[in-house]
Amino acid sequence: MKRFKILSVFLKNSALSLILLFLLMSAALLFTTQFVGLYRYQTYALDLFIQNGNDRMVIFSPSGLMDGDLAVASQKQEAFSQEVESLSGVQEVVSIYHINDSFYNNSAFSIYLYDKTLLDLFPLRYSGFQGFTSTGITEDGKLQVILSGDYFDGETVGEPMEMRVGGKNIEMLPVGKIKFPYITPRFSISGNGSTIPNYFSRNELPIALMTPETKKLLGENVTIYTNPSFLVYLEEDYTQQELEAVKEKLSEYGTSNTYQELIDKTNEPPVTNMENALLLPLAFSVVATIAFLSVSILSIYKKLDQSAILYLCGCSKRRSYLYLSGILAGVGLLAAALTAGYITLLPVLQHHEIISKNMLLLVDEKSLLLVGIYLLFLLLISFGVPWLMMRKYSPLESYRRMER
Amino acid sequence: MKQPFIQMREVNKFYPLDKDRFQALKGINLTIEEGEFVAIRGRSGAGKSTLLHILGCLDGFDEGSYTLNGREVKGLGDGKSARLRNETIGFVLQDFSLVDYRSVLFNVSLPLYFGKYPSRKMKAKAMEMLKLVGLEDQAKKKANQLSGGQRQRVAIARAMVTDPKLILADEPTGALDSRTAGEIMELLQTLNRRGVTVVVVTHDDVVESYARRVVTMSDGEIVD
Ligand SMILES: Nc1ncnc2c1ncn2[C@@H]1O[C@H](COP(=O)(O)OP(=O)(O)OP(=O)(O)O)[C@@H](O)[C@H]1O
Ligand SMILES: [Mg+2]
Repeated sequence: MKRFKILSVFLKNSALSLILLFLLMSAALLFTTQFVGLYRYQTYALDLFIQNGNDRMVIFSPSGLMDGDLAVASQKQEAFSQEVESLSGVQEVVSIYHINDSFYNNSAFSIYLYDKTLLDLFPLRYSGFQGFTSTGITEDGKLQVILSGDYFDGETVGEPMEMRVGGKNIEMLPVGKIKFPYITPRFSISGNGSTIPNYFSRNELPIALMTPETKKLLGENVTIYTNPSFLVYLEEDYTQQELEAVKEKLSEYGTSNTYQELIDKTNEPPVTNMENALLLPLAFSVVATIAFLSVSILSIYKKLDQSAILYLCGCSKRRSYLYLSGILAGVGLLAAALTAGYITLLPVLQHHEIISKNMLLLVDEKSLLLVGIYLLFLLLISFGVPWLMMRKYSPLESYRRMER
Repeated sequence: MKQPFIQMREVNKFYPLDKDRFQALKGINLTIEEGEFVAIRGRSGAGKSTLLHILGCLDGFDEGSYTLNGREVKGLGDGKSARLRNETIGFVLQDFSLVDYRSVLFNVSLPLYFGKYPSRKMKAKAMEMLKLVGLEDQAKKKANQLSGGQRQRVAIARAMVTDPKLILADEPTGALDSRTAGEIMELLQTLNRRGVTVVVVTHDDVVESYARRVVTMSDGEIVD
């Protein structure tokens, strides 16, 4: 009780600066969360892309010609990719296929079909993956799928589910789930979307294996479209000339990038959209940190006279210090609680589209660790600023100042 | 032989000054017995406040020795000297140093928060002190709503609330008109008659006249 009364000496008449400090600390923490989350999200795609280290690939993005009607574009793509596949040095063309006329719980969800090669090249981050059978279909005729996205939270791996495909109910068996942030290959970019996050993006839908059997099962009911972009998987011993010839061929319909070119372009300085997106929260976070530092110096400075009065009444410097830094740290913990609330609620808020799903944050252990380190830094300021201020300005100086 | 209440021997105090240092007190020898009323006077910059701050354990000193109430003060840490201040000394400064926006009653009881004084008796004790300085009807006002003379009375009530043996006042009337100043000095005299040792820093002759002993300082030394 006594302590709270003494604390009130410092708190009295400083509601404004406390609120300001709280807002600044919260802003600093939230922007840092934003920055770290965005950064983690963007490097997630890159991580996924390079984790296998297999660089025998060229990724093709068509421009213009394949626009228009999906079915026509698909046919053109098929024809073109067969031409490419016949070139020497090419082992396989890897495409991504999808169907659109499919519904889960009455909401439209596309279904992606991935080649086995694609899954081998870019192992996805699963939470429990039991593997596909070679046909992609179970013995009792269920389509095996990997579920991606929180819409499927209600489904359990190993327990059958249903989707309406082309007006018919299809039985499916989830064999795994993709982890947040549900990033998988897409390859649907046309034009020169030449950074990795453009080829790997958040896809919330079921993914089936592309095999003759699954093609037959689904193709009975709906059209299977081919995404316009594709990946050219090269022979192990391809030569430079063969690569040049492949690129030459691909340039007929669009642009292409090798593995290394893509990594380089992703990391390239001419500020890309994604780096722009990073820059803003980083700048805000820095500004908020500096503002917090200044406001805390000012408000501590304002409180030094109070501390000097207490000193006169028998309050030790140490005790005053603990009160002052305690107040700052307390405000910091409140801001941390707010941030924790935001992080916890983010998936829910995004699920209900209260916060746009386009805000792509990856909040995982690593992000939390980084935000935690930043919080420690803020707390360090909270304890350091009063310490430095009280070292620099003793109560005696307050008395002299007051005398004037 | 009984030790004097305050005994300073050859106390030197230096302030750091760029690369050099400035000696603010030079070989101070001062003995004050319990119950005395002492005025310290001298020109501005003579070192009066510096001496008072050391007497009150608000500041340390560099050389010499100082015993207060039989206790060596040198080397007492932050916590212990805070305790000593709280239990033994009451301060009255020129600018009244009250916590604004808080009630008069709270200001008076403030020192009690740092001791072992039982919470439930604090209010009564503070009221008793306000009565002593004639402000019992102002208890609920905010400190910043009072006049200068009233504020200084509140400061005296606060200084007295822990029943200290020593009151240290640094130009307590410096900001007051002469009539109010006289009232404040009379109040200090009343306290002195009750047995409290009072040391007042001043350049005012009127203030001096209340003291039973006058110590004059010049350039960091006691000259008589
Ligand atoms: N923190 C400090 N650093 C350096 N010098 C100081 C410091 N504090 C005081 N001094 C110097 O010490 C000397 C004594 O100062 P002090 O405040 O004790 O004088 P004073 O007698 O109380 O004067 P006044 O009557 O004007 O209050 C002065 O010359 C002053 O400039
Ligand atoms: Mg002075």
